[in-house]
Amino acid sequence: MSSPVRNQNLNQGKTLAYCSIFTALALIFSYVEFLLPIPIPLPGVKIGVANLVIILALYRLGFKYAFTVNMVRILISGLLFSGVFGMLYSFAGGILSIVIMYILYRTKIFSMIGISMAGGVAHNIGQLLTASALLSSTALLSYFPILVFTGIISGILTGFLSYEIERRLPSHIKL
Amino acid sequence: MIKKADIFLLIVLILIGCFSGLNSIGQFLGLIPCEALSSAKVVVSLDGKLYGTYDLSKDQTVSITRGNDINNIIIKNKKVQMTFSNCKNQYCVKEGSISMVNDTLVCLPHKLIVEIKNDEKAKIGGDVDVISG
Repeated sequence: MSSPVRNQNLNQGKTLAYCSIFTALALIFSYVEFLLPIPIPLPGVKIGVANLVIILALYRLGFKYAFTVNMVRILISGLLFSGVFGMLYSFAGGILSIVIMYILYRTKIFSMIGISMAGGVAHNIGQLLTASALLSSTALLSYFPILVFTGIISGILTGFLSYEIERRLPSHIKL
Repeated sequence: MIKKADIFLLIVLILIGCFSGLNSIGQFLGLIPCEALSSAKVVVSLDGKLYGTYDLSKDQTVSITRGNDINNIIIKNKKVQMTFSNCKNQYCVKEGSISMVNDTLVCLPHKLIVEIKNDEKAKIGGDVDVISG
């Protein structure tokens, strides 16, 4: 006996549960990232481990919820770890990166590694552009090449990890 | 698991990186002169506005303060270093010293940029990386 109303409630509960789990996971990864010392003392250079969760969310939950998970993660991790000022950069990087990743995902010709790579680069560029705008200076643009390369490297790393996790993740975890 | 499009994307991104980094690569190979002239200036800008210019060849300590934000830079032996900052992330202090033309020290939380400029281009922002702009 399953009425349509009951099914709808179940689905809503499932959606909420998965979104919460992914958000919590992304937050933990943000924290891990916060703890890890970065070898290159440059603003904006990160490994982007949290991006791993976001890519998985994109594949399993779809763009709408992946976007929400990412925004909530940035908001909370900004309040907890990086401070309100750093949050601004994270939002710029996060929004640009997930939109780019979604576009590449929709084309269906890229693997997770390519998508993650583009996301990493987009994240860095978004942050750099925000910083340049805030400082109203073009001096920061000299960091552009190194941010592109660190984005590529970290993107390939997280993309590879996401791919391995995606393969092992039970297929029923999806919306 | 790696598709053709991934390789293509990788090549495109590397090309973008290299192309926008032509300046740095040229400097690295010695094709573009990057030595600071004896007349080179250290240009300090705060929040997008010029804070002050200082001679690179003159050893000095400069303290940049605005409200509670404090940064100290030391100019010594034609090198510039951020020796102190009360900002949160301390990236600017960790960046070490700079000595080449167009090198920058940045303290994002304080909106501070320190650049080395060869005299004639001693204005904020100069013409750094037109390609990537």
